[in-house]
Amino acid sequence: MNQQPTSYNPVRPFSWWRLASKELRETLRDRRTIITLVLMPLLVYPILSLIFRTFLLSNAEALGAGQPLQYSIVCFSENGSQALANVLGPVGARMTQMDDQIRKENGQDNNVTAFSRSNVPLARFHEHQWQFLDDKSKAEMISVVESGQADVGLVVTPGSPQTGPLGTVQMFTRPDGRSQDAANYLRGRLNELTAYQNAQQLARAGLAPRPMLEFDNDVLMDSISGPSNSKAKSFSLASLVPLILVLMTITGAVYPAIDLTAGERERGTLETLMAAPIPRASILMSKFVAVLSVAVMTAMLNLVGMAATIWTFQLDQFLPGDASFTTLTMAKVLGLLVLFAAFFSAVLLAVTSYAKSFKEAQAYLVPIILLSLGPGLMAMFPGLELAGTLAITPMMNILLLARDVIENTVQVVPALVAISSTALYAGVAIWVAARTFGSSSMLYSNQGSVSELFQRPDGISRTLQPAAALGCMALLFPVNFVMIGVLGRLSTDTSADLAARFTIMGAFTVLAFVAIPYLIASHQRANLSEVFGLKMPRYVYLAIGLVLGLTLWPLVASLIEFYGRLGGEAAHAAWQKSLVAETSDLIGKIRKVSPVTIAIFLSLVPAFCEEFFFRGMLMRSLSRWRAATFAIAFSAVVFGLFHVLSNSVIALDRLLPTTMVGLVLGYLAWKSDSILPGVILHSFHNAVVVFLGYYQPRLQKFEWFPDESQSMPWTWVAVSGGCAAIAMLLLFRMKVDSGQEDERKLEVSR
Amino acid sequence: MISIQNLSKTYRTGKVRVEAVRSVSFSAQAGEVYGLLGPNGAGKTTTMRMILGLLPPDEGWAEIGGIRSDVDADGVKRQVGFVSASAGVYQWLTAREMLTFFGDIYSMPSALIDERLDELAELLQLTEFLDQRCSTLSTGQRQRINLARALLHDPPVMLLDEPTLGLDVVGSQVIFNYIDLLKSQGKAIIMCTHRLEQAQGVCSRFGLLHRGEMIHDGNLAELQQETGRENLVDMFINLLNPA
Repeated sequence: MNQQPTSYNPVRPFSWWRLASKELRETLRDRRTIITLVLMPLLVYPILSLIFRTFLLSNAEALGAGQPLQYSIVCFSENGSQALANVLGPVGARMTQMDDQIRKENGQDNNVTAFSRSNVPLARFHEHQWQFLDDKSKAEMISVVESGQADVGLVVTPGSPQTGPLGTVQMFTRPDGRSQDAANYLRGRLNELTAYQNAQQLARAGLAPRPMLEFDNDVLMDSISGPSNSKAKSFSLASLVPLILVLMTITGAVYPAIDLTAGERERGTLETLMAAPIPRASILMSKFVAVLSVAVMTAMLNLVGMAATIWTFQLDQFLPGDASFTTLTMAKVLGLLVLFAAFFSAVLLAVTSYAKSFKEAQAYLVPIILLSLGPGLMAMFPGLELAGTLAITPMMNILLLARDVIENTVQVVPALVAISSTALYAGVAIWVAARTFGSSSMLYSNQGSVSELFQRPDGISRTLQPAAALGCMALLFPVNFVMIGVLGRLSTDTSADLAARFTIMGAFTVLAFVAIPYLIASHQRANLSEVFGLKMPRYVYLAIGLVLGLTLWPLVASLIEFYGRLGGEAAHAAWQKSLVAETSDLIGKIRKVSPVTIAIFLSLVPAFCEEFFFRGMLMRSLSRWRAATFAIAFSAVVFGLFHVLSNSVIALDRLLPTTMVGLVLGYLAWKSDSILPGVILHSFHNAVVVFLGYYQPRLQKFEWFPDESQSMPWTWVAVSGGCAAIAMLLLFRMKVDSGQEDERKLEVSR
Repeated sequence: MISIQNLSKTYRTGKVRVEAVRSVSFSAQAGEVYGLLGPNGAGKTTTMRMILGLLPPDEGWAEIGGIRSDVDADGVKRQVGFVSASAGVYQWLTAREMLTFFGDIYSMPSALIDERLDELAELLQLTEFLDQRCSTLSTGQRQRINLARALLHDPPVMLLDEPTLGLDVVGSQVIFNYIDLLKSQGKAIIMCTHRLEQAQGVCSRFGLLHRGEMIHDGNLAELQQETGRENLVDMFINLLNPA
């Protein structure tokens, strides 16, 4: 009876799409999915729009009290105030004449001559708030518009009334909706007048048509105080719409992400799936496709629901300028939502894969969702441009791009940067999720209690548990925050104040990055020299550290510059100008502080302390738990993030360059099995950057030294890049200390 | 068919270090049911997971049909049907949809899936609830669905970890009868169970695990000789409370 059975031999390859379709079918049958998917757009939008409309209308009434909307217009002419009057006087008179005649022809009897896009009655042309500046300066007119005291500025150049138009007008606007509306209104009225004039002249004598005024290219300026505080401030629905859609997309993705990972684990179906001969990556991809599909479906239904609501309740009148909500706009916004959904679904899966139960996954996701509200709300600030750092800030870049799509103000380069960076983040998040999902350590890990983190080992340990290093990192974050806050409150009025501030900063740095890690490592009975990598390496590593310390800074500076230029030349120039303005005063005071103080507190102390923690404690303990590449990358990103917080503001432009320097430092520390070469690199890098600024006035006497507003000379970049490349090549060819690698393998295998 | 050599696994949680499995070795041939028995926490489930390649062993290896699970886990999984005590069902799918899905996972042609489904439905008495959503099924029905799921691709090896957990007497008897049938079909089976009386009837050989160690390994007669006890229940009590 007994026979030797053989396993079933598959006749077709496994398709992860079949797995994905099962995941999707299961998710879509779940009533909780349906509630988020269908009920939200059906019920929430009409209710929200009713509230929104009621609020806006009552607000508008309160603001305007039934009065027509008036724009504030400031005018200037280089030919003097008489020339200004000569041009605008006839235009105003003709405009009033035209309005009167049109009203008479139409049998109207009111004073209202026009309506805005948001259907608000506009004041008659001459009843707007006109400010005529004398011939002081054009700069004054610009500052009036920039500061929001006027909605639009006009520079008028007289023409020759006998042969051509009365003059040429150039409009100066801010990027906000009100300023743009005012410009559009003026242009529209003047075009209307030209058309009226032409019709009149042709009717009378068959004269050749000619405009009363010609337009020069508009000038878009930065806003200092945002839109003007005058009546009926424009509300940018274009910023609110993407935020709601993105939040809804997140809501749509959260439930399936938890259910298909932690939920399956809790119900015992994940182990069954892992027991089948399917690659883990395929299972993860199928789950990703399912979560993404639900998120996209949610986005689509929300988009349709929102568009229908906007149309039904006529909310499109609150869209500023050229903004529109056409089918094409919706398709573009949907495309962006798909991209965002891909990114966020991967992030959700990476996080929920760690959770053992639904409840635990929810606990992990709440802070992530709350954190994502930050960039979401920030993206609603008026006047924010999609440029530079904002173009690569996750979520914020997509929100700003979606706003620009709705407002029809998309710029190609920042848009491409936003799209490609989000696609890159999505790829990285999927990669992380694929590495963690379904691994045995995730599948069968116990939920450790908090007390385990504080348990002291019985004997002396050569290494430090990653949990202790990560716990220290978590502790340092608020400590660093408080430190920055305290430093921000210290006076920097005199050079003595600055010297005191540097000393306190040094003390804080030692406390945060040396004392706290030292205490934790001591408590864990760890061998301090091993944990922090304090042993003396071979001299060649010290030499490599020195070369890289002296040569990396032009590359870093070029990177920052390149990064700034991503947002366009104009934005970069403005950014550079503001940077010079912000720092020149401070650098002036720093130059009065002793160079020894500077060297100690801005170069040596931070270099040693930061290497002690980031490349010492954090990277070395992580490298005994995961691959060295992970440890280097993780410590570099954390290093970058700590530097983002500076002077109580978020300096996102520091993230990428600091992370890249962190990668080099991590690689050097890993190869040399010591933090000392990194301390040399770090301190020389800091010293060169600081002392170039410190001695700039003296250095500027040399012809070859660039001015602070100039770009880095390419020869500098080429020479330093070449030296750095040689040092990196040499480092690359060096062998990792064998003892370190053997021990790491041993730890991983355990 | 199944060969286990010096399998070891240690779990660490903080300072606590638990040696879940300590150098366990045994083998099972085609047409044999090997009963891996032991009290809770003896290391049975960890051993099963290592055999299947779900957990990497610290030391030793498991080989099925000449393939080592630490080298080619997918190759081993293809030859194994696995039922665990904690195995769940897809609550929003019907039993038929769930089984068809697993047939798809093993890349079986649709006609073969239908044929095997009919066969298993009759043998395991699934027909009446095959088109019901899994969320509406009783514990016994779910366990039978899981058994059918593990058998669908007709694997030569079965790993059954507490297949009768939570079942009533009748429900367990259905499962044990079927295991007997599988044995007669020449499948190699490793089974963990606490139903010692029924195990004594169906298993050809036994391994008694205690605190991660294999205390006894052999057929019933050998165990009786080694322990001086008549039946598995007495042996088990003796194992837990050595007089």
